[in-house]
Amino acid sequence: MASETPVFERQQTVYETDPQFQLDTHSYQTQYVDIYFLRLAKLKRIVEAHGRERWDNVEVHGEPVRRVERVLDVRQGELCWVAGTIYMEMPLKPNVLEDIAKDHFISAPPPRQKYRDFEKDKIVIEDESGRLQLTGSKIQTEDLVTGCVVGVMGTETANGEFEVIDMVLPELPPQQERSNLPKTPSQQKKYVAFVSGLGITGNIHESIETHLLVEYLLGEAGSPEDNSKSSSISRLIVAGNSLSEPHAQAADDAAAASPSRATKSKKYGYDATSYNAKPTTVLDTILSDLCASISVTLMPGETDPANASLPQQKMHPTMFPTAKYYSGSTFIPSTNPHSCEIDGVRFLGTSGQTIDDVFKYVDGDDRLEMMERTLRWRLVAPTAPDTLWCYPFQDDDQFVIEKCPHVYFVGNQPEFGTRLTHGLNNQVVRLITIPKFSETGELVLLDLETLECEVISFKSRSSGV
Amino acid sequence: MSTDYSSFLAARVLNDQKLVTYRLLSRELEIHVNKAKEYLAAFHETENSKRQGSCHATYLVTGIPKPLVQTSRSKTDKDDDTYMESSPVLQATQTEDEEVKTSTVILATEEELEGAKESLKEITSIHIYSVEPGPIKDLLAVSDASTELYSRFPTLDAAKKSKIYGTTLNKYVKKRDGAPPPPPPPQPTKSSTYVVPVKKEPLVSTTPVATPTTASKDTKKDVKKDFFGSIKAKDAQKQGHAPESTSSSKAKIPLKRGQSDLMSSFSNAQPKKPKQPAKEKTPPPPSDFMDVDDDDELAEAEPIDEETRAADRARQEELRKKREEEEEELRRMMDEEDDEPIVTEPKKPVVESVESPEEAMASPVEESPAPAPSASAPGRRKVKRKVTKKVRSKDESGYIVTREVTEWEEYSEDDIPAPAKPAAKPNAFSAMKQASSSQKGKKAAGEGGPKRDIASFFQRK
Repeated sequence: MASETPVFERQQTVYETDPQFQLDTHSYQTQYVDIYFLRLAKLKRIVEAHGRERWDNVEVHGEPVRRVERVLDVRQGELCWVAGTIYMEMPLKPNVLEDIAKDHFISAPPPRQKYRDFEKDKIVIEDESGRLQLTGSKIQTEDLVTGCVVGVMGTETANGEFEVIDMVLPELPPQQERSNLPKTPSQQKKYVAFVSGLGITGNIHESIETHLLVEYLLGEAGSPEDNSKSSSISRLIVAGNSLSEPHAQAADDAAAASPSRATKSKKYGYDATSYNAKPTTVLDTILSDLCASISVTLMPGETDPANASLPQQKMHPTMFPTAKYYSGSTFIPSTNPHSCEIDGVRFLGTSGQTIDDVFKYVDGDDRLEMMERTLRWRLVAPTAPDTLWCYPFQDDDQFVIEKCPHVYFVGNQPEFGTRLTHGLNNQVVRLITIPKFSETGELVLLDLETLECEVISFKSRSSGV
Repeated sequence: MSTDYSSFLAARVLNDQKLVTYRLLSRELEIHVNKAKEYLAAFHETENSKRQGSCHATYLVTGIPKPLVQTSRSKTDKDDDTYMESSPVLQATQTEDEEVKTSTVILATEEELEGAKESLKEITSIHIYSVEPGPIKDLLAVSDASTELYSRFPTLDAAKKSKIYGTTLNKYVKKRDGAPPPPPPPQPTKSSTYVVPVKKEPLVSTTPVATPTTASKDTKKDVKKDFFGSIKAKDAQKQGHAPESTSSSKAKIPLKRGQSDLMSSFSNAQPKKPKQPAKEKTPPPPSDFMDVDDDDELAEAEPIDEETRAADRARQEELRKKREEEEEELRRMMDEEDDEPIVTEPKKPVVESVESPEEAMASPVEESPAPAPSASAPGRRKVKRKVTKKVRSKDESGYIVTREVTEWEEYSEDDIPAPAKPAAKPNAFSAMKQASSSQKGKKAAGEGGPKRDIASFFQRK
């Protein structure tokens, strides 16, 4: 019987994980200040190189621009440029001290969508020596965030602020040539598929779209034509939030089941009885089904059972009792952010927290633009550790992008979007925002050769309400 | 074959009123998915020609959607702010907003099929997805069937899967060897069921505890069957002993049960249960990893030979007493700490009274199997693990002795770095207890127990 229909074989690609974001130690004993120090040490050099290029021998109104070593060396009325880390002083930003102070009053205000407030925000540049407040329309529209390293040119005004005339960023890091590029376009396409926000709840009714997705990827759904296409998808990258937010349902159930008990046993901290294993079990079965045919890279996300601070480490294989037997071949739990090389194409991606957090600082909705900015800042997570939880790195700021990726993806975004961005040194990067599958039903395919994107959306239509 | 499928479908769809998807059919009959799709279509047609509307179908349509979708995707800034593009790099990128190829996979019911087709510019394929007895309001029913697929059919290895069902083949998939994952029985519910009897026992326990113990044992046994299949017989035997032994004297139990190995440790523990005060705290359902723990423990425990076992038993006897005292202590603490305001008070005396006569009787018999304290370490460890089964078996010896308030926070105990504070407390108390030894039974045990030990134990054999 099987002979009647062609057997499709999965296209293979070479996959290499970059262990950049793996943590060896888990000590949270240290201070976060070192991150800023390390970041500045790494990026100042680069920013200054750009600054020299741009401002050496430049004169403004006959006055030559002078380079100043430290922020505190800036003299009033003197045209100069200096490099340092940006800090955004925003009254709307969550502040731990304020939280504690308010603790005794009414319930906390709802979390803000944006922190930006043009009236009250202060933009400050700082280095080891001190701080300098920046002003000027130029800097106001730059959409900066805390943590990015920039060089600014201008003068200090009478009231001690630094009026910015021009600014430089670290810009895109050097990019390696793609090693695999064939001379002529090959016949057989190879895709990498991205999905994020599967949002598995473990409810009895798992969403039908998820099943359709699995069937499609396995090459069971659709005509042989569809199957042949799906077989050209060499691997799937799951960019976070595979499980839905742990909502209070389990807890509610428990409470409903035993109203009397609730009063008796008063538990503090984590209540193990409210643990619901269902979502992970469902995810496990789906993964093990997929892994028999396609390689799956599983990144943890905000709602997944992994550490909350970036970089999130691999989800532990014991959570996937059946899928774990594929580890070492097709099941690849990975970190978030994650970087890897697939057939010579360098990928860098996060599960979305980084861009979601940048979103709060800047004006506007263009996520692709924000992604581009993070690349130009050479920082995967610029706002960590200010408003984004992260690990207190001691030796190296892992969030600095040293090698420019060819593909930069971010999961769990409101909608799909893609475009190319170009660096000053002919770097070309494909930016992709991956929508939440649970909301849009969209799977994003990336052609490994042309770096073009395609979208497959899974929907269901029923006559019912 | 054709009769095969039509009879299967008729049975399932028409008689059982169930929904059948092509995947389910292919798994049931071990046929290629495409074949299954054909069968479903044929079945749908024949049935409906026999009787209109007797069966209903859903379809999967793939294709390219009409460009409507694309326009919605044009990037517009939702607030009307104008953008001030600042860098030259940005302007370069603005131009290359290319079209993105989109395709769609739609699952539609019979009625919606036309609508689904219309939404597509180009249709790549249409095939039947499922057949069901009547129109379905909600496609969730379909997803139910898909879920059923996972629970009913074991995952085959990749090569077989592609050969039989037509799944895309990936030659490079390697499934690691190893024990197949334990079947996922609904453990949480099970465990919670046997917790219940345990809790009730103490109230009844002033007199012989036969009924409750057996009850608890029964339930417990059920659980064990999963991993302890082979030992079941012994378990049963033990069960026979239980009523008798508990009624007379607990101390005897270990001696009588010379033969039963691993289970003895369980059974030892069991009679103790009745003594436990009813602590109404809710036990956390043991989760999967707990059970894994049990497995480990089993593996570890089995090789232990007769001698150690006997020694263990004796030790456990001793431990049990200590623990009882500790529990006593804990109970008191709890009362003080207000956590368990209820039943405990009246019970204390009860428990003690039960305890002491028994202990008195026990001590003479017990002479022989008093263990060397040093030897107790491994045994204790073993039991310790058992406690991880926790909840049900606070009474189980061992861990508690070393460090377990556990009864309150079972979860912390299986992490080794359990909160230091609760751990420390019982220890301190037990130490104090031992020093002061306010309880009679304990004294007896303490004196009679540890000194005779090894020699006598050999004699007995």
